[in-house]
Amino acid sequence: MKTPRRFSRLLALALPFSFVFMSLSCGEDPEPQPAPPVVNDPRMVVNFSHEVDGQPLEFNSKEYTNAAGNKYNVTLLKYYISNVTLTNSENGEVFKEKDSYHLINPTENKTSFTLNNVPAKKYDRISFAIGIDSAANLSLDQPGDLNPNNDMAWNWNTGYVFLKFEGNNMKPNAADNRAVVLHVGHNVNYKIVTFPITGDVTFAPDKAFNANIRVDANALLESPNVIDFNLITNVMGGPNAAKVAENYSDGMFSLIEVKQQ
Amino acid sequence: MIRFRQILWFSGLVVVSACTKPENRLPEPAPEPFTVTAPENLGKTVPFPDRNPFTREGILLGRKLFYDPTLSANNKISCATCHAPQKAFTDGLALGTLGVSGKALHRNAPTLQNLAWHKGWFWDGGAKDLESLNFGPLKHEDEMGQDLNELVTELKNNPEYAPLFKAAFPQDSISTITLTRALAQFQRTLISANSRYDKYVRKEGGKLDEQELEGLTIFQQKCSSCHATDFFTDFAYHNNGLDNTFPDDFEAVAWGRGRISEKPADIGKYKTPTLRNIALTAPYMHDGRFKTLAEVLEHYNSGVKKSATLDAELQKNPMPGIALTESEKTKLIAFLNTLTDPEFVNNPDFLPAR
Repeated sequence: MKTPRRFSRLLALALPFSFVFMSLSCGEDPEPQPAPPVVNDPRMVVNFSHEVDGQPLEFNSKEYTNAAGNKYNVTLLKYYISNVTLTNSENGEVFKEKDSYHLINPTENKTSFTLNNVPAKKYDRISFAIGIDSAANLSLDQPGDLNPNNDMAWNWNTGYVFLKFEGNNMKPNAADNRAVVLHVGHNVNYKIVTFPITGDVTFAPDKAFNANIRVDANALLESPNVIDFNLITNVMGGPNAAKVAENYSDGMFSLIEVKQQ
Repeated sequence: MIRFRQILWFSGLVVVSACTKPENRLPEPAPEPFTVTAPENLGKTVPFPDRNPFTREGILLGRKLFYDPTLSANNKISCATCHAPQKAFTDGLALGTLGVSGKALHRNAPTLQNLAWHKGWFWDGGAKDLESLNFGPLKHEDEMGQDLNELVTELKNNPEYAPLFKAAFPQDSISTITLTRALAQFQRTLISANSRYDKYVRKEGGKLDEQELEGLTIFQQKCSSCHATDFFTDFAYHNNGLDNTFPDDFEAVAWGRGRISEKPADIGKYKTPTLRNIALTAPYMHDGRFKTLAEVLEHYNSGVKKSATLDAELQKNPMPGIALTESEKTKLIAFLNTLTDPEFVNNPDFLPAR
């Protein structure tokens, strides 16, 4: 008989607590509970730093000179990075980010994104595309960075603008200045770039890496195709868009380093 | 012991009642799936993209949005301003000036009927589906001139819309995506297939008189290679000889299909318009240059201009075009008038809710 009584007493003590506990856990608005220690998934923050000739790109105020000798400023540089992939070239393991569409827009301080839940493995290459793949370039009713409210959708010819470069071509007489509008899209201009990663980049729980990527705005106008603002100021598709796209696939982006946070 | 039991009972009751509350909550009402069908001569099934199936709630929301001037920058212009149901969803103008800027557009407002079957939308097929098309007129500075973020805020601030969006898209909020999907659902229901001609071919008691029947025969011989099937369009792009120069100003708008495909072979081509409700959709052509059907037929008879991309069907004779006698023209117009569908323009499901 002793055991039941002791049990009853225990119950008497425990029940009010259980009541409190249960009502907390089932109520509409639970009090925040002490959080268990968080183990972060392995992840990589991909940062884009925008430069001209090794100096940070200054929008609007700064005057630059391109390979054609044109003076210009930059008012907008905005582009899609998509389908980010990490690869181990030795064993062929590949991590592809799901729904991998990121709008980079330095004038609104949107210059990085995070790859979450990276498998705890070693990788020695990173690749991504500039632009939107053909499968996602067929319609505009898509969420996130593909939402047409980002001002990167072509409504008259369904698809996304992959990259926008806007500025002014400065002339000796300011009244002669001309607006420069380079809008590049279309499936043919979807370009994939790949960079080898040096050093040991092995992901593990609670381990995060930064991938720092340099974006040279002037390189967009330079190589392999010199964009001369005396000849080209307004690009919206066509052969000139292809020239700009060749430039962004070749030398505009470079991987500076991947290092642990 | 009794006391403990009471506590146990009481506490258990509280626990149960606290925990069953969420479980007893009814599932979110799912929007009602809705099958939109077409008459036999249009093939019965109505295409739609997998990601945006018809629901009753989606169609009704789309109809409300279609007639709502909130969609424009100045809150004065709805889709129906330029796509009025009584004119088979056109504006009666050559180049519309009813947009927020009042400036003339570069192309004629197309009729909205049997849109679900198209393969490309706009005169040049630039829009790849209706969901994507809607952002064109919404954002164009000379049409509705709307900022999409502002529009979403306006819709969220309107208490009428919250339950309607919730009913149509329970998983999503009010957004540009749900907005355009609802509009597209409604637009796909705009099916015209009950003209006197339809009731004649479906043997539903529709009668064509002798002149109209002769017109039909001439039509089948001389017009139906492009205005094909009972959609009265092949949904393809042709140069019908309106012009022989295609300037590249205004972002090469005069290139038509060539502006989209960037192929020289497509310059000057436009999508074959349907001839359904043609008596209601004057003026005609992609720029509304012809005021009457008689002018259109005279163009094919004597006005076709040669150019590199002129359609082969219009080059079968020494003189380009389609030779038509006055009698043939009269009969053709009589036949074309049988394609008017009063049930379509007066369908209460297509008009604003009362």
